[in-house]
Amino acid sequence: MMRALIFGALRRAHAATLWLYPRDFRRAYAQDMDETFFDLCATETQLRSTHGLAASGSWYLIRAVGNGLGARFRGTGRSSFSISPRFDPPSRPGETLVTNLLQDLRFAFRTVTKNPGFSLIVVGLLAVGVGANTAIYSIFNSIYLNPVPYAEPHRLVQIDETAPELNLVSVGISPADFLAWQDGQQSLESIAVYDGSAMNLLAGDEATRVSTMAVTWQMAAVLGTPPLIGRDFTADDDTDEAQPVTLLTHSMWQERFGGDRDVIGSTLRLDELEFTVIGVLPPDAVMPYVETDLWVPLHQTDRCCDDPNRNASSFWLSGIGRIADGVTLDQVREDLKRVHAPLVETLGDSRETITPVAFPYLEATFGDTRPVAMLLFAAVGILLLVACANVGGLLLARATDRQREVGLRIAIGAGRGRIIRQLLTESALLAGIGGTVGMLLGYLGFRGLLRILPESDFGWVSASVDWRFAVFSVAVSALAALLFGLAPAFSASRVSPQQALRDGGQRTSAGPGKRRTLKSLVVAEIALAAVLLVGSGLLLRALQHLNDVEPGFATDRYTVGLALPALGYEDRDARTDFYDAVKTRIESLPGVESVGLTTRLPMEGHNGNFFDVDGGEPPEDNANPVILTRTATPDYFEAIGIQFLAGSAFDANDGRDGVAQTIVVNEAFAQHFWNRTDVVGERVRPSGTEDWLTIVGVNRDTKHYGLDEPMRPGVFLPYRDHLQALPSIAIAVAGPGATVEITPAIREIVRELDSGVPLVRPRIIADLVQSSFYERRVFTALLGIFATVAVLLAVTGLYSTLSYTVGQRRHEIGVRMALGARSAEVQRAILRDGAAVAGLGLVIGLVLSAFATQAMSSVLFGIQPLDAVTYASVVAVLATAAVLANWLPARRASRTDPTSALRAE
Amino acid sequence: MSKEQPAATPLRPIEFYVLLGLVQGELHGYAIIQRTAEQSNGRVRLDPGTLYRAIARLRQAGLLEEAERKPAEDAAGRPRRYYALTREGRNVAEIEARRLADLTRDAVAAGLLDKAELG
Repeated sequence: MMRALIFGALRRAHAATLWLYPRDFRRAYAQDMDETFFDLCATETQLRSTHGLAASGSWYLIRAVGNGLGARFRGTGRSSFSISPRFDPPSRPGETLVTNLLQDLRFAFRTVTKNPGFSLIVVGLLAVGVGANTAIYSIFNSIYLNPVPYAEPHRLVQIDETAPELNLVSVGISPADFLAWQDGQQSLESIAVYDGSAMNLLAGDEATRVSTMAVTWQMAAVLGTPPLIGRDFTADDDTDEAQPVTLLTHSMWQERFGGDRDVIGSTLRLDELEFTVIGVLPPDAVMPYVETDLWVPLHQTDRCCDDPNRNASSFWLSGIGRIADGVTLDQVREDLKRVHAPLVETLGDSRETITPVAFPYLEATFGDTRPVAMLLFAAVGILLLVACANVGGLLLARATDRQREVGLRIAIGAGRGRIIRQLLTESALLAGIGGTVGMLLGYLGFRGLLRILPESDFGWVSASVDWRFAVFSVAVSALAALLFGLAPAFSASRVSPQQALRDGGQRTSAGPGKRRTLKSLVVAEIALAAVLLVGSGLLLRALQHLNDVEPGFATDRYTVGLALPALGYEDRDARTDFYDAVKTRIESLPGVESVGLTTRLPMEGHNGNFFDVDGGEPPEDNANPVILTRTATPDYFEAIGIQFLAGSAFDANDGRDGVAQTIVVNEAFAQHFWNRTDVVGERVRPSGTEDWLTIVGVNRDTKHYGLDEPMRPGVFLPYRDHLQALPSIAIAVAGPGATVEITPAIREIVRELDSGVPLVRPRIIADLVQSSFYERRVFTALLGIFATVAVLLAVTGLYSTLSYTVGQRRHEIGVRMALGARSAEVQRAILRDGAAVAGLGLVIGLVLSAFATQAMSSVLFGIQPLDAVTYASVVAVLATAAVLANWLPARRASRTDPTSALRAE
Repeated sequence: MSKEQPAATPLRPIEFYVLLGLVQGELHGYAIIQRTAEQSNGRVRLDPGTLYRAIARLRQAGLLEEAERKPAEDAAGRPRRYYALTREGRNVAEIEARRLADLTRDAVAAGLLDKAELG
């Protein structure tokens, strides 16, 4: 009875194990196996005790599981033949897999350490490939996957006003519009506007310029960064009557107050006003301006908000909002339009042309960097491919040398799969070491990149890496191992043992198939390197073009900014008197030839107004352009080297009585309104004003928005007559003394006049220009580095492949020379061989480049993606490198001594 | 002997035994296990999984085939699949046996084994 039960259980269990087998196998044999098992057990039942039946039955079951798994994962595979199972404990399924793996690892470790030079090269190559990828990936990760340190950043929207009819994409938000939206909108959980500015912080008699952000009261709520200590702003703080209060940023709190919690409640003297510190923001509150020191309520700044006229007519704020739960972006847009519509009645028709817009915040903030980041990502991807091809070539070449070893192992019973696994384990080990080193390099590279990338765009990226970094590194390394390991592994496992062993201890030679594989790898390397080289060449040429752009002003001049506090200088004359006094004193410094003042240096942003033209052509299609409006002293033009096409600067006294008579316009302005440049004597006026200004000079266009941006129509007004109450001004100094060494003298002059006025950003104009395309230079340099590394890798690949094949063909070359081939002929033959490989790679690479670089046209300046100079240079560089890489092996081949080459066989 | 050396040698012991088992004629799975145990004096005990994986391999290599003419059903009346050597299978088994015999002779000649030991 008991036996019958056991019997049945065993049979059912065995039937279950049959499901472990692959389907085909099961279909063919399952029934037979079941019957065989039945017979076996029937016999055992007759022969054995209950205990014996259970024991041998279990043994059969265990074997069945092992065989089933084996059949599924290793095919019908090797049998596990066992003799005298009674003395041989049944092996557990999976045990062999683990033992094999350990064995493979041990063996791989021995192989890797036995040949440290080779391993070092492979690890180095991989580390470079993986490192470059992880470094760029980290940047990518920081920008797109983990972009801002705020909760649910996808719910943030950037809000702005736009006026397509005026040809203005981004107008800025006027305080009046914002206040109306804030009251009426229902689609946003919170909404705020902000403006980055600066104030003078007075401590003792030392004045420093601190970066402030004027915000409306919900800003911290929008960002999701409530104060770390203290309290947030309330609606009551953001009114004209409120006591001035401020929130410190975390960095300001740490640096200036040493993280002292008692700072809450203390007061700061900012622009002559006492601000009470009510809280400290968390470290995460670093957007949108990294270098902000403190937040103040918008109503506490002198640009806002007590004058309803100015509130309605000036557009200067940036907006941000947090979408409420379950609301879509389109609904937000509709909602803003809805609350904006009634403003046409209260604020005028301009609200029909100027309307609110909303974009996803992340897109708006990082959209511009995307093409460049993609470009860099593509570049490091290519670099990794080149590195892998290189390593693959090295391993393939070595696999030939290891044929004997592999042949021997096959001869004594190793299966093909086992050999492939062994070789792949070696690749994996190499990739593991290379990947680890690469990960480290990548991390260092990432930190380095953060240091050189522009602070304004990337300063908030924290230099820490997350799990994605680790996953990516491992994935890239594994991919690399597969890429470079598979071909050699399969090629090696195809070794016929008889062949390998018959060749005895002699060096075996790579067959033509393997040589072809090697050469294809090199062709691929050269092609990929060519693509990178073309890309970086194009960027370099674009940069060169940019450097060659004539900015329209002299770059060797010195400049420094002055910022007056609002209090004490409310009166315009007080300001101009102060500036005049500083200017006169600087003029008397040794080495100074001319000193000029302006409200806006080139590359320092836009300030626009509309202008009417007296009797000028009414602008076509109603596209009245926004005119860049600057003010300057007459000697500013000389001090910064702006040239006149017609006329000259205004009189130094113009505007002294408060009303300017004259104006300087630029070439673009004259061309736009009159289609000519000799417009001295014509009259213009800012829209909405009464008095006409006579044009006294037309200046040559300067580059104001960046060297790669076209110039807008612009004007200079006499600085005594600013259109806006600008509290800060830039001084330009020309002459042999105009270097940064003049700064202390200027600081002393300013201190003597008013110790509460700090200097702002002293520098040479050239630095200002350079910093305007700093980002481009960094990216160009990075791509250049990647391209150089790729070319070096490709050329080394070419060299080692040729050296290797020459070594392999030594016998053949010896025979040829013994038969009378001259060494020059041999050299030519080898050179031809190498040239064919390099040439093919180059041609493929150039064709690929022609396609790939089309995607770059948006970042190229002044050149076409198919720039002939770049392509020619790339051909020249790669051809030269290829000849060098060919030459050494060819020379070595031509010096083959036929006798010794033949004797060696 | 000018027979070409087949590709499959050297045979795995398990496969050799399966081939040996079929030298006398067609057999079904369980009978192969029994025959193998007899021929090896009980040293080789096959389990169904090992056996059928070997059968699958040998069939794939063309050394073994399903018997065309099925002998009668067994005592219990169940139909059974019988296997037979192919001509190639017989050749391979023979070559393997000779190889092993040669090796053994050499081992005796070298003094590694005692002739008496071989029985």
